[in-house]
Amino acid sequence: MKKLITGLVLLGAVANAVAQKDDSSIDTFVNNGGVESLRGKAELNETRQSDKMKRVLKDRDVVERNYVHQPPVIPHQIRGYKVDLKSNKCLSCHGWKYAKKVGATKVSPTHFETRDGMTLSDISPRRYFCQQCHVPQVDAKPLVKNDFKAVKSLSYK
Amino acid sequence: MINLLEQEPVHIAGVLVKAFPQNTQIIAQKLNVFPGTEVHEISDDGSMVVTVEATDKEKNVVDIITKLSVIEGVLDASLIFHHNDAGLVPHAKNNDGNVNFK
Amino acid sequence: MNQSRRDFIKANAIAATAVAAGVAIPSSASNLITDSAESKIKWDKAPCRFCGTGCSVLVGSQNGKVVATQGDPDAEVNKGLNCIKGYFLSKIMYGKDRLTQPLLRMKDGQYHKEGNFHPVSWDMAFDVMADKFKSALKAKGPTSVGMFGSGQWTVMEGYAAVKLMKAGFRSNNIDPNARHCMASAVGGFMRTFGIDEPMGCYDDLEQADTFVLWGSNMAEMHPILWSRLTDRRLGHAHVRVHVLSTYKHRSFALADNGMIFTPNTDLAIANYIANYIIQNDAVDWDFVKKHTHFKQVTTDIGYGLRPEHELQKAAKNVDSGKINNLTFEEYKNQVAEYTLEKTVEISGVPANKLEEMAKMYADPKKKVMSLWTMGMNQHTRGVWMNSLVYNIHLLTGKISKPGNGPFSLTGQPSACGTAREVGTFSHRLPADMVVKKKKHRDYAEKIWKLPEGTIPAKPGYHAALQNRMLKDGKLNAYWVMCNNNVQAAANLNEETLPGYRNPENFIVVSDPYPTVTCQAGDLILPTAMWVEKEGCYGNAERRTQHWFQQVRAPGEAKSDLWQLIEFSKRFKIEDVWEQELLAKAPHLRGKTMYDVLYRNGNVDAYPIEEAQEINDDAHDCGFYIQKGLFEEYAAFGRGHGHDLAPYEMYHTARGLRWPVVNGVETKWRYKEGSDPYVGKGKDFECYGKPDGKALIISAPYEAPPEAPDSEYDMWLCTGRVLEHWHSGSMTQRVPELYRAFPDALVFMHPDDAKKRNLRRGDEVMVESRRGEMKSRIETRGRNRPPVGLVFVPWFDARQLINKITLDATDPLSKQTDYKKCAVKVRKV
Repeated sequence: MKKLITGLVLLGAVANAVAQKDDSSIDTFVNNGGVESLRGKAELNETRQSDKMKRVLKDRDVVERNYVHQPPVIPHQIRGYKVDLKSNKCLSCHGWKYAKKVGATKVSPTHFETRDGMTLSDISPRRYFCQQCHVPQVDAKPLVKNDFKAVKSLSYK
Repeated sequence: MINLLEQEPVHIAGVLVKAFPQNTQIIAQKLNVFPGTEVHEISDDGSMVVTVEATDKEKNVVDIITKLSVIEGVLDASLIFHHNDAGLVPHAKNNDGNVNFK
Repeated sequence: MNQSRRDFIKANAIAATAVAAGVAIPSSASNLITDSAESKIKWDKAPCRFCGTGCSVLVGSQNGKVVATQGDPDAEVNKGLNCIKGYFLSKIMYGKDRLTQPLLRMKDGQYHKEGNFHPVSWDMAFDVMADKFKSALKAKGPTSVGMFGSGQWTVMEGYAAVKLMKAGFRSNNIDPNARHCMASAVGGFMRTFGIDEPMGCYDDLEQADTFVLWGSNMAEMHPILWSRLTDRRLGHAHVRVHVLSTYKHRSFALADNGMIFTPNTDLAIANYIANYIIQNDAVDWDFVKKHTHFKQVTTDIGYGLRPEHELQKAAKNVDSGKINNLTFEEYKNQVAEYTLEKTVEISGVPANKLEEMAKMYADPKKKVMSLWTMGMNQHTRGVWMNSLVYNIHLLTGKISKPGNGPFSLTGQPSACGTAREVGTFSHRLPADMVVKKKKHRDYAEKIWKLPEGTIPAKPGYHAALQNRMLKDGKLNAYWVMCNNNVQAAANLNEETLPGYRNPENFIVVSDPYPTVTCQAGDLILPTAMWVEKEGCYGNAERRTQHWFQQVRAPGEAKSDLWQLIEFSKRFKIEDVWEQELLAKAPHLRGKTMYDVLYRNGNVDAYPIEEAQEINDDAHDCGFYIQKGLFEEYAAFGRGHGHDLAPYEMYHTARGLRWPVVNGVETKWRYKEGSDPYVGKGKDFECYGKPDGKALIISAPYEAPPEAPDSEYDMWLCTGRVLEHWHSGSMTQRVPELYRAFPDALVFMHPDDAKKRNLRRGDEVMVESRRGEMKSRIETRGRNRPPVGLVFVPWFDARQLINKITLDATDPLSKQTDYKKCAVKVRKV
């Protein structure tokens, strides 16, 4: 190792050309110094085995929120749900007409407001793509714990 | 903290009820009997701050207010504030069971 | 107390009625709103920390912590909406592994390149760091020190950094990560209009009849602008949406005309449209004659690779940005080559789809908004491509009018505000000035009260070159701030990692969280983020937005600004300037770099009393440093088309779009009546150019540097996902966002999967000539690539797709092309 360092310093540009070809030489310098990132302690030149593909949780109860304007997450799978120019699968349960019948959460009344603050008789088109704010959740423990604390009145514990 | 995402539609009216000051306590008792009706404040000059909420039985707030106004001793009942987010036009389903968006 | 919506409305009912009754609001009503002091939340505004849209959010804090965020209903940009990331801003600062102490690699109590990280004091951190910078300066001069900054720096931080590097250390080796994202857009603007950033604004979204997305997945990357576009499309039956991409993505859900083209052939498509416009006599001759000139690019300019690369050696005109004059007839002949038939053949887009789009551009009655982001910017011909789209709008006069115009969307929250306007690029100075021009350097030196000749004239190392120079041992003391470039830069194995770990180099990384860049660095500085400091961001529509500090940073974490300032105190001006320069300003002798740069009578002009009670940076300095930096910076642009309002105006406004002249913002530049800089009676004036005329710049289709072959048989395109911001260092630490999109996946066509005997969820090895990575196959997800292309997002530190990407850049903008290289995918 030491020899290699001296070599690099002494030879300058020539050594670089060598280093470029011989990739293994760099490996000896790679060292995370004991710091863990989101990839854990795996060294940067290591090809990590990929994590298992996680499963989206199936029909659960409504997930509690930590603050008032936090959009509710989707407590069920949505694979194959079509939301496009012609149709919106989400609204076929969460629209006001159907929600009670199917036991779904109704779309919030805030969603009827236009950009200018007018209340419409239907969901405002600006809220049309539900998944901009509402996302399903996989069955996985977070990589890193989050210390966010909700205000007392909204702490569900 | 305001939970703007509650699921049930809300239908609430704020009503200013006027009576002779000496009658307000009795009238307040009578008002509180009405379903969904609540007296919040009584002023010395006989003004009463009342809210009326629609319940399952009484769908129409206006009907309640009409009933309030004919209680003996009530001089006037005026609708000051009205909020109703029920009755929004529902969506129509298309052939594949999804909701059409117009 | 959890107040319900019902209670809230009831409280309003009571309050309104009480007012009518002339009685005091009953306690029952007010109690409903704030139960007690304990439930009181302090709300203040701040722009979102993530993309270039620049949504305003209301941040609620209590007992020194952020407890809630919500969309700001008073903000014109987002009118109360946020996307999923924005709604979870409240949690980004509270990842358990926030860095709270400086960490230095050490062995036996001393700094050692191969040591493990140990907590040290700020004093020791700066001592070691200053020592390393001083020895580099002494050994090799200013070009051996450098900095990699960010379009996520505040305006003031970027400005302070530019001064520190260009005037203090006298090194132009400062570049922002915006080089990876906006440099081609800058190049396009400068060449066509002579002045950077869009002429139009987001108001166009409510007025256009047709939208064309040229390589932008707005549905995921600019969700709030997409919601405005969706509003327009669904609310107005005549509106049409055209989406161009190399794979099918979420924006196609709203597309009336979705088009998948072969990578790099957007060059041909844009030329076809110009050809169609000319052939169908749809040129707005009045506009073209009055306001444009025709030019052509120099071709065969290489691919921004290392000079010894065979493609560079083969190129005739490496890096040439020279443009030559052209007549209209010559231009007409050049684009005539791009017939419908030929364009269909090159691009793979069906004829009827191309024609439909061309027709709409040619129709004088249709207002068209063209939008793009990384698809066009991360392109080895990105500058050309930006100009080709401007050509279409200039030929038809569809520019600088409400609902009509080309609009370059920005990636980062202050790529415009900090990287571009402040000029944190290696070749730039504030307000579109450049280091190459003596006049510009003189101007900067005058404002900064520094002697003539302080700023070096030669542009410094740009992003890709910085990594190469680190590897080659020419850049030795290096500070990475507010970005995660080990994860973000292309060709990690061959360039970045050897550069960072080169024993000759000392790498400082400032970050709130332990990123992979921290893991590759030598000194880690814990950093305050977002509302833990006061700052300004500038969004894609020229809107400058301000926020106050709202909570304190954890532990010893300090803002980037504080770090820059404190570091500058470690140098006497004699340490960094040569005698010759000092002789021109003997009064500066004996002063520190801090005194010279930041106690110059401008930056320290505003007393601490003007600052908020909670403003750690200002109180540490003893003066209102953010205001001082902002006002000194604003002096560059005022009267030069980049006017900013007085600092205080931004304290309450939800941002203002520059130029702000006499307190009035500008929505459409170059247009008389809207832009105060346009001369009377001129109607349209492109005042960035000496004669007020924009350039229509002809450029041909050229092939990309690397394309699939028999061995590496697929295209790789990389990008973002809605739920994660950039490298995921913030969003991957929010549990809800992590669970929404936990791991990067290889999005692949089912036929390609079948051919490789792969099923959804299978582990695969993705390989290029430069590296490999393991991931899993997704055949049914939100992205649907055509046969022959895979898409992999880059947020995942556990996979690191940039081991595979190619560090080819646009030779003009030096921006890396992350959208095209050749890979093979096999089952593990």
